[in-house]
Amino acid sequence: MKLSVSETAECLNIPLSKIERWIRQGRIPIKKSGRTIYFDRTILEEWAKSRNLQFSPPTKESDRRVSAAPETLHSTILRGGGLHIFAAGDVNGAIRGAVDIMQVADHTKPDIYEKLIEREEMSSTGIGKGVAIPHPRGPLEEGPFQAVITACLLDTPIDFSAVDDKPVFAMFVLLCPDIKIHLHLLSRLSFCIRDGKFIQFLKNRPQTETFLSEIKSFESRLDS
Amino acid sequence: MSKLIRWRYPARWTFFRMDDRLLLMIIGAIVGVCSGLAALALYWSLETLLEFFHHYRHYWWAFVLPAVGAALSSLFLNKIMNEGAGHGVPEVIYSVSRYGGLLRARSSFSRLISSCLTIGFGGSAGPEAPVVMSGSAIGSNIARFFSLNDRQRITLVGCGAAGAISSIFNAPIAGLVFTVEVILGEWTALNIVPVAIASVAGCEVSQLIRGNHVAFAHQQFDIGIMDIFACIALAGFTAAASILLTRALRSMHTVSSKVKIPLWARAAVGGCAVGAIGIFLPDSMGEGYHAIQSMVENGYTPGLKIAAFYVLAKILTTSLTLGWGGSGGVFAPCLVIGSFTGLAFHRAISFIWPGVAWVNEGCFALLGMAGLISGILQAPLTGIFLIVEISGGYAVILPLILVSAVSTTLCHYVEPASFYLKDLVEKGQLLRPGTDARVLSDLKINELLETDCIAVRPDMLLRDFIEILTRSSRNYFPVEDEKTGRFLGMIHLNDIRPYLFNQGMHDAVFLEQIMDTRIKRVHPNYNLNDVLQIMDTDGLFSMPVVSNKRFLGMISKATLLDQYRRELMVQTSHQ
Repeated sequence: MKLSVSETAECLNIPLSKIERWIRQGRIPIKKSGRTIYFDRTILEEWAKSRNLQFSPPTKESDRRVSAAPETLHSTILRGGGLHIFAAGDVNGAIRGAVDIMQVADHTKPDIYEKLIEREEMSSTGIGKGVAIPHPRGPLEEGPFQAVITACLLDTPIDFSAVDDKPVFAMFVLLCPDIKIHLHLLSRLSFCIRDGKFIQFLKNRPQTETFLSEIKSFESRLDS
Repeated sequence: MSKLIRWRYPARWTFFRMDDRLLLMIIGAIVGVCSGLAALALYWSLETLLEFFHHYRHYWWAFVLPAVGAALSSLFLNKIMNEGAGHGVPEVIYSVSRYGGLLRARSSFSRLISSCLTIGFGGSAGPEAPVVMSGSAIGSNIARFFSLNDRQRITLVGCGAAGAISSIFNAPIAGLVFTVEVILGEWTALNIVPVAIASVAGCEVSQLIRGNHVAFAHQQFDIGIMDIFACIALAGFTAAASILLTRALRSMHTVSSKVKIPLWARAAVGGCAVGAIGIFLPDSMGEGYHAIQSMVENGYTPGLKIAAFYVLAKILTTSLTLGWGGSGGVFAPCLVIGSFTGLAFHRAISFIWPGVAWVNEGCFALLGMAGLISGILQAPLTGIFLIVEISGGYAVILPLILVSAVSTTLCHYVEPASFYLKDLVEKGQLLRPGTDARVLSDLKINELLETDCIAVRPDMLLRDFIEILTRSSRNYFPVEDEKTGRFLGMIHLNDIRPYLFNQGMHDAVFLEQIMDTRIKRVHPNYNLNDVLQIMDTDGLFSMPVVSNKRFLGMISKATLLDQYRRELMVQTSHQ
């Protein structure tokens, strides 16, 4: 398989000028056809191996883009089935209710519930202004493999032993496949919650569609 | 035309695509033949010139002859060829280590002519270094003609040097060993095979034209245990003579450079002095092979005092010739001084202990030569193999090794660098393969640039800067003028950490107030060695690279280590 000079520089993870110097100095095995220089991949790999150099072909451009596409609140809440409204008496009940309506595989639900309660027992996830964001301490082994936010409004506010002791009326349950996405979503969520208008908007119990469009407008403000 | 182009790129022929070793062997043989011919040309023209001037030696005005020769050679080198004086071997070594063996085409004959003028008119110098220079230049230019890469070109430069030495001495192994030990400084299978072939080719040429004469063959040496002990003492004398010669050359050079007259006049002054000495001591002039010949064949009649005096006289004439601007090498003078030292030593010990059956004085002359070569060049193997080959046998190998080893060691104490390498070491230009200096000189700053820094403007508020901070992965931020793109200064996160969390300062501070304008910067042409020195003295880990008032990127020790290691791995593994 033929490799061009710039591809080789990428595979060996060294600057182009260095490859050019190595070619000039005759330190790297090259092939020539006419005036153009190219590399034979098998020979090059052997050469790199004998010199203890890393030879890693770059991952395909399209793969990288998928993993790099950032999650948004809008897409994850939509994945969680929009806005749910139900009644609960206490913290455990509220979390149990949220897990029940969660859009995940059924067999993982007991585990998710356990992990959420475990986190709640360490310290409350009520972050003030009547909002709580229950989440497990780390990514769950059995999924979900895509971030899901289950947005819930409670019929009657319950005591969540939140930081400002205000009863909680809205919960956003965060389930994320890794810490990075978790932090990313958390920072977006806290940006919304910091805004008094958003809290007022939630208290008015909006429809799922209006709720989602409100989230979208907040996020577009954040991205601008 | 297309045929010609094809012919000029033999590396493209399918025949050679298999392995470039084959290519190097064949071109190496060609180079060996060419440089062997160059060496012979110098040898013959020297013979002719010396023969021609022999008739004029007895005239009173003969002492100006070396002056005329030295002045002419100096004029030729400086005005016509536009090259510096000196014997050329350091230039070859430097070019091999720094420029991949690139040498000018005119170097292939310039030193031949200039040294021919100097020595032919009676100056005391050797034709070997000029021959090495021209052989190397021939190799380099043949490599360039065939558009070979640096590594191949360096091998061919070595081939040229080896062919020249082996042709002039009719000593193929000495040519090979000299090249590898002095010129290339690297023993690898890739180098040695083509160099050996070139060496043999050069030798063959010389044998075809001059006939196969081993210089001092058919000598019988019966070496006893007492001779071995005497050798160790002899090594002390040869070491002393080597050091004396090195010092004399150097001090002559310093003295002559203080005299404010044109270069050719300087050379003439030195030549006059040589000529004056030559009236009384004729054997101290020229390259001196005839004197060596008669000494080794036990035919040298003058006594102990004259021989000892000749050692000093030859040192003086050599340093006068070379130190004042004549052209030539020290190889042949070394051999002459060495044989005089050996001869004087032999006469001294047979005078003090007349009862001991010493081996004949020719043997001591040979040993003295080996001692001098090993001492001056600090290349013991070259000394050993040269003497073995010109004496035609291994009879003297044991005392040879002894004298060479002791002489080299003693000289190394006083003069750590050999005569050829001294200037290079002092200028920090000795870059032997696989050494730290070589790796650092090969790496260029633009290969180490880290360009992922985000540039900021001087009139930016700290609040806006914090926005940028959240997106950046680096701790350094270059500040650039918005209109001209000029590099103004650097913001390092460490410097502004205390203000970052002070809300009150966010709108009160502009970046131009907190940037570091006096930060040490480097230019892309800087030597990495110097950059590292700056980093070490100032305790820095990274520095901005600025060219033409524009920021190009950062250079940091972390990247340097990464690239340094790769370079080292690629440079030091040979397969």
